[in-house]
Amino acid sequence: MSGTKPDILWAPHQVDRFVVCDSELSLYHVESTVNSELKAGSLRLSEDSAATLLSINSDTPYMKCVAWYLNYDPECLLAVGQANGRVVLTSLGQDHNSKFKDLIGKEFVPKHARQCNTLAWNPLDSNWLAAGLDKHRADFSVLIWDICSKYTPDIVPMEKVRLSAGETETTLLVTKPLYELGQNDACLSLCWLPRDQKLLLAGMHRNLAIFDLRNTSQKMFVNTKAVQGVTVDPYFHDRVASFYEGQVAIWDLRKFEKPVLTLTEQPKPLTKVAWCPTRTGLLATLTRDSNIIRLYDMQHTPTPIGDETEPTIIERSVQPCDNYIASFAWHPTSQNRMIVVTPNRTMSDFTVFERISLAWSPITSLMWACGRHLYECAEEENDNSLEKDIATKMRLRALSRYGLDTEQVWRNHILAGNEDPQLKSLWYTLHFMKQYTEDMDQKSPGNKGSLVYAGIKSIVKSSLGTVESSRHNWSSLDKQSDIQNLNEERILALQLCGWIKKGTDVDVGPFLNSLVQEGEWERAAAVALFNLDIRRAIQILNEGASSEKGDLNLNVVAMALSGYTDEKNSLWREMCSTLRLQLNNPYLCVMFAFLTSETGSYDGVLYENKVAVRDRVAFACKFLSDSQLNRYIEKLTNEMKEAGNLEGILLTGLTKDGVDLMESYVDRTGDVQTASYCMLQGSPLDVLKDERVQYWIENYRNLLDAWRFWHKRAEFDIHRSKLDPSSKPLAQVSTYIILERIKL
Amino acid sequence: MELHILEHRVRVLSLARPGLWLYTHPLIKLLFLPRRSRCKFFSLTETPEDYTLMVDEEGFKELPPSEFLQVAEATWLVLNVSSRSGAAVQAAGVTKIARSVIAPLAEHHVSVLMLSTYQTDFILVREQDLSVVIHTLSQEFDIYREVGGEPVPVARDDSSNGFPRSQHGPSPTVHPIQSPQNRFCVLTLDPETLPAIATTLIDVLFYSYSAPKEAASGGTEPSSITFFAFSLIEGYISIVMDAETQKKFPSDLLLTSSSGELWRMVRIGGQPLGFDECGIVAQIAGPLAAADISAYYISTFNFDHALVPEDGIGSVIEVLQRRQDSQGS
Repeated sequence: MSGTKPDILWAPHQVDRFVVCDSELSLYHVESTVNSELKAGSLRLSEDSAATLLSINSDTPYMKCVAWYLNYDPECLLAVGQANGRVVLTSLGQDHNSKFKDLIGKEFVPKHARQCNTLAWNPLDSNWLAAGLDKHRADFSVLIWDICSKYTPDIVPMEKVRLSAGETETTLLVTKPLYELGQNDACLSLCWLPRDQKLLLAGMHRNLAIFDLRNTSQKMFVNTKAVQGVTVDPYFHDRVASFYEGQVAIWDLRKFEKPVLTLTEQPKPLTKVAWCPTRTGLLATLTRDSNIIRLYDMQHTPTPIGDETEPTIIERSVQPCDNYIASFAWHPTSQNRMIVVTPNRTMSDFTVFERISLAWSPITSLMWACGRHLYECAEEENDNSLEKDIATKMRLRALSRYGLDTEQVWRNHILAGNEDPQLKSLWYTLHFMKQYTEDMDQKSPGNKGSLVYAGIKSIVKSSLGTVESSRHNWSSLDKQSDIQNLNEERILALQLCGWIKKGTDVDVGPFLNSLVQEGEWERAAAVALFNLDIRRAIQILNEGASSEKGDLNLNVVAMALSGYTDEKNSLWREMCSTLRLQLNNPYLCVMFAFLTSETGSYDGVLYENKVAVRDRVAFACKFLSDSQLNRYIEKLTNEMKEAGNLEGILLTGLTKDGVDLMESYVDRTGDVQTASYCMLQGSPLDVLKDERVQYWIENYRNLLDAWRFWHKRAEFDIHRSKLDPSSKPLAQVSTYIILERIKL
Repeated sequence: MELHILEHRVRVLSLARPGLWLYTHPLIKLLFLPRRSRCKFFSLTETPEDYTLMVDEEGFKELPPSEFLQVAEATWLVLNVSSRSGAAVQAAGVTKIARSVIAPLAEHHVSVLMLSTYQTDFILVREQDLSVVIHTLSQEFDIYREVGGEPVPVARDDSSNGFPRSQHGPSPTVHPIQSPQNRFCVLTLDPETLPAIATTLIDVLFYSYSAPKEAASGGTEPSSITFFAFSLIEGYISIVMDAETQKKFPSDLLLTSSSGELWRMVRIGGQPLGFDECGIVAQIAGPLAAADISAYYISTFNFDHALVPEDGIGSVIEVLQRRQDSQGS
């Protein structure tokens, strides 16, 4: 206050009034300007409010602190603490016949003059006013006055009051306080504790003290430097804030030995700290020469249990104006509203915007909270985007035990809903990988198992440098002879692609039959053709055309196919290579691409993205030279990794490459469920230890928890402990239980 | 009761009046511009002989040495007593601590200086005596040493090894006393209003000295004495001045007791007292405490000064005279 630095106070009950005090007291009335023009003489406070000066009171010089009477008073009764320690009651009202007229002008005089630092009205007995004063060697620094006590002119004979001579004629002086506390000490700040009318918390010279007026010789105190601005959290009566220079200390009165926490120290000294009266746990602080107000949100601050608990606080700041802020005041009732005043007395009325906290529910709804409002956002029932949501999908898949079929591994794609070709490819790949691993293990334990799980990329690399596979003889297209020329690695790759069965059998016949059975005539025809069996291909197409679900046009395709000639410049070749692009079915398309391709150039097949990766890779294994094959596999692998396409697992296997691929997939889809189950299927230890893998697994477990699928969580944990040798906590627990039982 | 050993390390100086001009700048700075220096303990007392300065090391740096400046050898530490109990204690100031601090220190040959202010009483002891002080007072007090503004408890030392037990009573030398006729007031001031009285203060402190006319009465009791004490310690101002001088100041800025009580002075010492003799404060404070008379006590470079309530000066003189007589007999 004191001339240069104004302070500001909201009226506790008349919510549209506030007082600015510096060398005088000015009462303002706040009005909304939403529907009206700014009145002449009004000061704009914000876009939609303005203040009108109602009255000025300059009766009280040397003001050091001001406190507004807490009961409802139409006259705006204020207590003013002065530089000489006197407390004067004054008013800004116009009605001098009010019930307070006897009080106005009353002065409360300490025995020894010194600065009055702070004032606090008792919230329970509205007549009690505590004043905190500077130190005097033989006097008390906390005086509690009863404003209704009779004035006592006889105690201080007028002629002895030399220092106030000339101003005492009509003044009502009170010199006998109700209570005197804090001898030979200074009081810098005060607040009454709401839990009892007779408990007063005071920031003394070097300690915080709780005075109990029921027994004034008793007090509780704690030594600290943080003695400025003591203030009780209005929502949590045991929580108190105080400050010293740039540091705010938060105390719990139930554990008063030391602060429960201290806030980040500010480079400049603090001037004001105030709890928000309309919201729990929100503390506003202001430092000297600053244009921002810092807010500390202690919503989640737990009460300390151990000594070392340092709870988290959310800190942010608001900048209500460009100038330095001299002081601020929370509005007593309007939520998060605050008024600030600058040193040159411009004012700004604003509302601290509430931090929005947002939470996704694990089942596709979104909630956010802002102030006292809670919003829920859920998709409408009939919107099928809900079904497409990965959270919904994962939840349904978890319910259908997706991922848990460890015998018929391929079946997992059916458990997943049999709708996603990538998942289908993935689970078939994993199925084949599992089969052949087991196969290898039986034949020669510890030999090639790891190679299989490593995927085709590593398999073909290992064959590099061995005998160059022979170029197929186009003239003998209809003979099945060349496949025997393939080396062991390529056969293994074809097996993983699903074209041929395990063992030494290299016949694609069973695979073709299964495709025909499933109605995939085009694909079957293409596979037959790629195995150089053009008759079988034509036969399959005819079959497809005549079946119920099939396309009659397949006959036309069969017809076209039967006209095949390997003559380079034939009309057939010319027509086929241009018209094939009009075929919708990618397999039909690649069949003609194959037949019309230049020798050794199969790009039309290899880069037809609509053709399943496994078929393209199998094709490549059959027709490319080792170096071509390696380049192709390398290229395709990178493509798959980038796209996060699960078909690529066939190439990468469950290796680091596979984790990279899966990472892209999870980034794209959020499907941690598939990622977890896939990686648990048979990854080597170092892959399982990859933090990404562990992260997916942990997240999936959390999801199961969030859905409250406790049994599914348990099942998953058991599944995990079987497949991931690095995670053994469950086993340990059960061992422990067993041991306990044995003991019993 | 708690005894705080404050952080200030104080030097005691005497500035001869003819050298005042040389120190005007640093003194004005220390008096009115406390934010310009880091001095937290500043006391300036004008007596007929000299100006006594008690300043902490930061303040001491501001004062260049010269032939006019005498510096007491020791560095002094500042003690302050605070009562934790809410129980009211009637007699104030030195009287209150006479029995608990002053007398025991005198018995252990610890020389002390006193500086009473409007707010409190400071006891200054030499740094080298600290261990004796702690040992002597640890029975009576919880002792805290302030470090970085935080009070740190000082371990209680129960052994008496190395420290002589109380050997004999207070100082054998009984110093003569004088009681000038002026009446004094003890005041404080809101530091923010200090600029408003700055010119008056400068005038009173530096330009109002008139050489004492050799007392016409010729008696040993001087009619009045030049005495003005100003201190600015940890942001608190305390002033002791002649009631006549006070009239020069605006009445509404200086703050004092609502009763407006006035004080008379008892000046101790015929010859300069020096800094080594112990028990000087004790021989004054003891009898006053016994008679339950409240007092301020201000030590200067040469002499000590006690201020007692105007109404009680008669009995004080009587009490102290009796002390002189009993010693003399």
